[in-house]
Amino acid sequence: MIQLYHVYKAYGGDQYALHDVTLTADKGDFLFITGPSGAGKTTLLKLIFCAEPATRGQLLVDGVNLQRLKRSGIPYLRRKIGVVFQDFKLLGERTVFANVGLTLEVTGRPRAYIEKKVRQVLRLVGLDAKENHLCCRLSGGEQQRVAIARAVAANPIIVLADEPTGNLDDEITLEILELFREINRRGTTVVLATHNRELIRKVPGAKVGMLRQGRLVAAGVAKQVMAQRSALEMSSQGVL
Amino acid sequence: MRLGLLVYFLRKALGNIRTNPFLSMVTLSTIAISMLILGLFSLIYLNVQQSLHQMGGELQITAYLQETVSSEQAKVLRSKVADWPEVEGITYISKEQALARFRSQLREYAGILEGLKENPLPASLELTLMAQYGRSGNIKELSTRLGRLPGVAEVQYGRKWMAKLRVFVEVMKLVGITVGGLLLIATIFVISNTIKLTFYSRREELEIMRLVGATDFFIKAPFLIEGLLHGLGGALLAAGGLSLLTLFLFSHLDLPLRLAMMAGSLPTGQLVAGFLGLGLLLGVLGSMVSLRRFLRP
Ligand SMILES: Nc1ncnc2c1ncn2[C@@H]1O[C@H](COP(=O)(O)OP(=O)(O)O)[C@@H](O)[C@H]1O
Ligand SMILES: [Mg+2]
Repeated sequence: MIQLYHVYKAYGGDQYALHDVTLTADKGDFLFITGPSGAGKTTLLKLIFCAEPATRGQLLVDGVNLQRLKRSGIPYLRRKIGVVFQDFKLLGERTVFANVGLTLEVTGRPRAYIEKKVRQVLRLVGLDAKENHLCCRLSGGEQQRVAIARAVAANPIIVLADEPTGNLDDEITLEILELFREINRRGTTVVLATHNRELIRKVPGAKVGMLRQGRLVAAGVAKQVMAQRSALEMSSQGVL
Repeated sequence: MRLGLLVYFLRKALGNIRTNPFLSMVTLSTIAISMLILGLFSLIYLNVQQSLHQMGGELQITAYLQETVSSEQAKVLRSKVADWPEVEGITYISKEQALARFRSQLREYAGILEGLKENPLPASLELTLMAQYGRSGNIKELSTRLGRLPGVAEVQYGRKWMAKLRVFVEVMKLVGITVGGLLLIATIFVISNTIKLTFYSRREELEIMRLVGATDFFIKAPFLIEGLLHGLGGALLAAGGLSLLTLFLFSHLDLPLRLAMMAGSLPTGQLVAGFLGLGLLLGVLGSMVSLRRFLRP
């Protein structure tokens, strides 16, 4: 579903935000991208939905070679990918309904379909009672749900989420994680960038790609990767 | 394109206009004023042009006769000139006929003739030329030939005056094209600037639309329609304004009779259609200019 081969990304200058990253997510996978702040998690997600071009390497998303994708093809790729942005990117002065419906509007869906579908995804995220509220009046957790509802409204085959639990308290973090697991259970590939290791421990069967200064330092099944890293960190602390 | 989609774009365009109605008003008036000025120029130009054309078709030459020429001599002269190949028709106007015509044509000045004992108007021969001899070279040559005939005092033709008018019309045209061109460019700039401003006030939404898979066309279409609506609206205003203005001008101003008469036969419908077409074009151009500049990633 998502394949990266020796991908490099430099934003200009000789510093690489991503350095020789090779990583795969198959259909139905739940993939965590983790690593400290500045490791390149956001950059990786941006490459996948064509918000940034890779400097070098190959990227395949649903069989499409992004290096060869023309500008005119980008919108159609993006319709297959739902993105939950770190800063939500919601229109604060618009209603919950309008924000979620926008994804469907841009594909030219008829009004009746949009209404039905928006209510359906708002039910999924538990916001069906607030469809007429303005987004700027919602709590952080609620805004996060609106962002998730918008990301899944167009039935994407991939959902990308950038630090979706960044500013939320523990209880709501778990609820949000549970939402992504539900989306994943319905067959959608989920890629979730987070620096929160607790989150990863909650999904032991997930895949993990660990970045550090743009390099992939560990990859595999969550349970094993986390155990390895713990051992490594303990031994390095022992040395010190 | 699906009708539903068109309605959607139209609604978005109207929404854009509604978010900044003042800006729309300014745009509309700028377009209207530019087109009004352009329209006035073309109206006057067309008028004068048409009058010239009609006068050109008459091709009249008048040969005034000396006082000493008797009416018999004049008639001999008339039949002689009538045989020239350039001459289509020729009429003898006696002193009395000239006076009568003067009285009936210029009623308000008739009084100045009352005090005179003698009729000061000369007798004349009025020639109409065949259309193919209407070039000014022919006319000049012919009038010299006429002037050399015994008994002819003076030859007059409308050419000098018409040549001046023609130069005036050409200058008008040049000024009109220059001013009109500048105004049209300004109009395109105003439309594109309006769109730029709406674009900026909506950039957050447009950015999000792009991120969730909107095509360039989908994002552009409402702005194109907005420009189009402004162009059309401005054109309608200008057409209305021009109609009112011409009505006013021709009923209140003492324009030369001929010009006033021409106005009735002007292709007003075509002018309005032209305005609308131009408005559409300006709108599309204006929005395309801004979209090309501001829709780059
Ligand atoms: N638009 C940008 N321009 C220049 N440098 C950037 C840009 N975005 C990110 N970077 C740099 O790339 C590196 C990785 O950033 P990012 O992908 O945001 O990391 P993370 O999401 O893991 O915190 C950082 O060093 C950051 O400063
Ligand atoms: Mg980040």
